[in-house]
Order: sequence, then C-alpha cells, then structure tokens
Amino acid sequence: MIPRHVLISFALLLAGIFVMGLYMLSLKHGVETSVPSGSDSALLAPPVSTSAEPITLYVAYDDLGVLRKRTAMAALPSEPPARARAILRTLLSQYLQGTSPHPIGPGSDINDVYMVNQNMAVVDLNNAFADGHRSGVWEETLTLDSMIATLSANMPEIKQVKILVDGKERETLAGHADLITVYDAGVVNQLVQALQ
Amino acid sequence: MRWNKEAPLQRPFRVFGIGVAGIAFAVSLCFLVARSADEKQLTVVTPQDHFSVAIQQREGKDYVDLQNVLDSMGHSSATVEGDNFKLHYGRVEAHFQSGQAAAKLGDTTVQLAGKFQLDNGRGWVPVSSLAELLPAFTGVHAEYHEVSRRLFLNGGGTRFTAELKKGSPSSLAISFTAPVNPRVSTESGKLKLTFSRDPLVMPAQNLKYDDPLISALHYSENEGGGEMVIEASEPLLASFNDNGKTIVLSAAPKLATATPPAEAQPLAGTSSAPGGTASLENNPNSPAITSSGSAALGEAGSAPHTRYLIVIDPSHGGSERGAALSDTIAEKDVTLAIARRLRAELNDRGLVTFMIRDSDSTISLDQRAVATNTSRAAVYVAIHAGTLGQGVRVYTSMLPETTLAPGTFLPWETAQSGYVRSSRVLATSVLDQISKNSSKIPVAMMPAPVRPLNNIAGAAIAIEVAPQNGDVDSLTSSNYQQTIANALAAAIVYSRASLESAR
Repeated sequence: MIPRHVLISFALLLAGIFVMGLYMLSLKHGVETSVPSGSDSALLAPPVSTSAEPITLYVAYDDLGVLRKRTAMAALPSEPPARARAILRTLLSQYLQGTSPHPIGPGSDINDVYMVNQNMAVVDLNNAFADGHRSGVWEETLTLDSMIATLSANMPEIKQVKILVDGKERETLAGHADLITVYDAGVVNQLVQALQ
Repeated sequence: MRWNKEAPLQRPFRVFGIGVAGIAFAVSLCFLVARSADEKQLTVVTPQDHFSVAIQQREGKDYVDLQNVLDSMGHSSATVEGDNFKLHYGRVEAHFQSGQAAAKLGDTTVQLAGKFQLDNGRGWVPVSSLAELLPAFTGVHAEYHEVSRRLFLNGGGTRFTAELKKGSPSSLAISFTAPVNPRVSTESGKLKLTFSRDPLVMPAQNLKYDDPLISALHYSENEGGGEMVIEASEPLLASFNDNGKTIVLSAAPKLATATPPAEAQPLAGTSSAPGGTASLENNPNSPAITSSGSAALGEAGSAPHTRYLIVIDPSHGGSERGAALSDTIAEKDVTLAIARRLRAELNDRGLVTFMIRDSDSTISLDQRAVATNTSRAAVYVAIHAGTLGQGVRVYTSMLPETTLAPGTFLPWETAQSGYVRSSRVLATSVLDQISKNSSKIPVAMMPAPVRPLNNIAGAAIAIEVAPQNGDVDSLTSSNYQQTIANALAAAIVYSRASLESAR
C-alpha cells in the first residue's frame, strides 16, 4: 500500500511538470513570434575597437576553376589568433552569400584559430563547414587553397596551416581533400599563383 | 566566443532552460555511469552461434545474471521468497540463498566461487561458477576462459590446427573449423593475427618449428579475444583460402625477383583472372593483403623493382558514396565503371593490374594505401568523378620532392615525397595522351591534397573525371569512359620506361 503523503507528493510533482511544460511552450511561442527568422546563420564581424582595414582575399570561382585576388575591408583585432579568425570569417562571408562564386554549406564558420610557434596556424572549422561542404576533389581543393592563401597573404608569418574540424582531426574535408596533412603555405601559394 | 546573432532570450526562459539542461545532464551522467559499469560482456559460445550477456563487478568478482544466461538458451522461471531464490529450468529445480556460496541443484550441491546475490528479483552468480552450474541445468559440457571472458558450451567455438609445409620457402597453413576474420598486423620479425570476433576455443599454445623462415607460432587469449603471433625471419604474406577457413602464411614477394613483367604473379591471397588481375576484395576476410606493413616501405629503394604492377583505385564505395553527381548518379559507381574499363585496357596491353575494389564495398583510405604499398606497385591510379568544370583533371601530391637514399624509412604521411618526380612524369604522360587521343576533352594537371596520394610509395596520380560539355549524364557514357580509359592505359604504357628507370 502506497502511503497517502507519497501519492500527494507524486500528484503535486506531476502537476508541476504539466504547468512548467505549458509555461515553456508559451515562452517558446513568445520568442518565436518576436524574433525575425532567417538571419541566424549570417556571420557578424567581431566587435573590435579598431577601424576597418583592407585585407586580401583569394576567392575561389567554381565556374572558371580559379582563385581571384580581391580586397575587402575588415576590422581586425591585434592578437594573431583572433586576427586570423577574423580574416577567415571575412572570406567565408563571401562564400555564404546567395550569389557566392563558391558556395559553402549554411552555418559554416571558424570555431577558432590557434597559433603554434608563431608560424603555424591551426584552424578549427565547425562541423557545419565540413558536413555541409560539397564533395569533390576540385571543390574541396579550392576551399582549402583559398583559405590558406588568404591567411598567408594577410599574415606572412604563417608558414604552415593545419585544419581541424570541431577540435578533432578529420581524414578529409568531404571525402577527398586531405585534412591529416600540415599544409605548407609556400607550396599552396605557388599553386594559387598558377590558378589565378 | 561566437559572433552569430542570437535570439533575445527572456530571463525566465533561460532559467528554465538551464534547469532542464541540468536535469538532462544529471540523467545522462547516471546513464553513462551505469553503462560504463555494465561494459564488460560474457560471450557464450554454442556450436550454433554465440551471444553476449552483461557482467557486473560485485565484491571484486565478475558476476552474471544466471537467469539471463539460461533464458538465452531456453526458458527459465524464478520465484523469490525473502532471501531464497528458486529457479526452474527444464526439469531442474535449483535453490539459492542470498549471501550463501552453496547452491542446491536437484540433489546435487554446487559450491559457487562467491556468494550468491539477489538483486531486484534477479539472481547473480560468479561468472566462473557457470562452468559448473550450466552443465547441471542443461546437461551440456561448459568450459570457461577467464582471460577472454568466453564460455564455450557443448564443444562450441572455432578450433584450429597449424601445419608447416617445408619447402623453399616454407609456408604455414592454419586451418580453422569455421571461417575467421582476423586483423592482420606486423612488426619486426612477427606477423600478428588478432581474433576479436571469432570465438577461437584453443587454450594457450606455443608451437616451435625447425625452419629457416617460420620459427614459432604462439596463441594466447586476451580481453579482446585471441591473438596469434607467428615469428619469421622474413616478412610474411597472409593469404586467405577456403572462404576464410584457411590462412596460409608464406614469404612476401621479394623486391628483386627476376620475373619478367608480363609473367608477374598476382598477389597472394587473391584470386587471379585471365590477364593478370586481382582485387583487394577477392578476399573479403582480409582487411588488407598487407604482410609487411612499414617494413615493406622501409626497404624501398634497396633493390631494383622488376615487376610493373598497376594498382587501380576506384574511389569511394559501399557506405561511402563520394560526390552526388546527380540525383541518381553516385561518384562511387562512375569510378568503378571507369576503373573496370582501365583494367581491361591495361590487361589487353599485357600489364598486370590490381583493383582495390571490384564491387560496392567500403574500403578505408589507409587500407587502400597499405594494399598498394605492400604490393609494391609501380603505378597507383586513383579515379574520382566530379561535376565541376569539364574534362579530366590529373592530380599529383603536393609534397615537396625529395631523393630517397637506399634503405630509407618512409614516414607514412610523406611516403610519396621520394616518388613525386615519377608521379609527375606519369601525370604529364596522361595529359599528353588524353590531348592526343581526344582534343575535345579538356585536360589539366596540378598538385592537390587528395588522400591517400601522400601515403603511396610509388608513382601515384589521382584523376578526376568531370562531365563532357557540362552534361553530367556524360559521366556514365560508355564512349566517354572508354576514351578516358584508353588514354590512361596508353599513358601508363608510354611512361613505363621512364618510371622503371626511376625505380
């Protein structure tokens, strides 16, 4: 036989869960109706106090199979890791636009950039970047070359680049391009020159 | 810190969210703790099949739910009265008492290896006592192997015999009573076969052989199952026969064999087809035909190669579809079709080929590289297909070129560096031949970071076939595929002299 006070407590708990569930639904409904949707995946520039400065981007063009040198304005932090991340995010913002010459998956972003010995950049992509990337040797190669060349053009001290996905090593970007290797910026730059 | 826009959250909503997340975290933690405690498994092997039951640590010993084991073989019923546990299985009635190490099964008293434990109406007994309890319940013989946590019932399990066939060189044939699927690995002077899924029943065994090639076979059990170590004076090649019921270990092919290229033998462990072809999957039980692993790489450059073996790698396969070329065309199917045409063309030209896959199977990138290196291929061609651009793109490794000294050990990630020049020679030849054969197919050549090119110790290229004139359906066109296969085969033949002199 279950004691009466246990039954009462149980009933009160159930009622509490029910009421909290209703409260949560009403909160969810309120938030959904008050915020315009569709802009969540857009990248925002980091809030830095410095003024915008010109940076060089190597933008991939799928239809031509080339990388083109472009200039963009971006406010860059002074710390190298944050600076590298801001540069890469400026490049990605080009690819995330509706009229992108080299589209990448929605929600693609750079989690972080770490500097090792001041000359090696470890770029941590988010999962959406790798999971949403188009599969193909050429597509993946253009993405990596574009990122490495852009980093190298704006931060010449970076000689090597290693790519991680969500903090972990991954075999390939989307089935083809090697993410195990450490990229030599000089070798990539030579290739990029040929691809211009 | 992330800079994505966030929807403005009201404070109560956030508090509520944190509360719910906290509860979910606590529940997940409990679940994970409970799972980690239950991770150990007892494998019960019968002549028909094998199954696993959970093991729990109690009082420092491995315990198992007795009824759980019996129910896996038949039907049991139990009644609990206080500390007494009465269990029926068939005609046998057993009496256990919580906290007591003695149990009565019919008229027989069985001494358990630890105290019987009653927990939520279930009776737990030490795993090692099953060897005595189960024969009393079921009448079958039981043999418990504590190291591998396997209980063999009624003669269940796979047994093996090993026979050394003396000759020049000798070979060791290991015969199993059922197909096996071990993992093959090597280290200096040893070849290891790890049986993690196969229920090998043999107790520890050490066999010594008076032979210059194979000197000993050791078999031992471990937590993961069983491990067989074969000691040899030279790298061994493991080949699987009789649908995986026989493994033959023999000396790996030497580098300096005097076999003419046209008569070169297909790889051991694979079935040969007319025209000198083989594939990694001809032996599905072999994860890779590897036998000499890094040792094989380490010998690169120490002797001239005289065999001109072409490894064709149709990229992707199985669960790994590659690029979706259209709603209905997967990259893995196009690469296999082109690879088959290339194989036929090369065989027609008298060359020996080896296909990494010849069906829709999943093979990892590392396995592809290992298979290529251990077969000491002269040429490795990976075939890809894509939708971007037109024609054919030929890729070589992005590694800088280095010169190999004889006997150099090659790091896995940069094994290709000593062969970059050969790879470029091959790529240039492909470029020329495609341009020559069909001026309508645009062709380009460049370095690219395509896996596993960096891991290949030999001339290695990857080709990516893009649609002809922008029409994706052309990728499945037999004419288009055949034109590319013809040009590739011609290029491989054309560059043979250069590649062989470089080797």
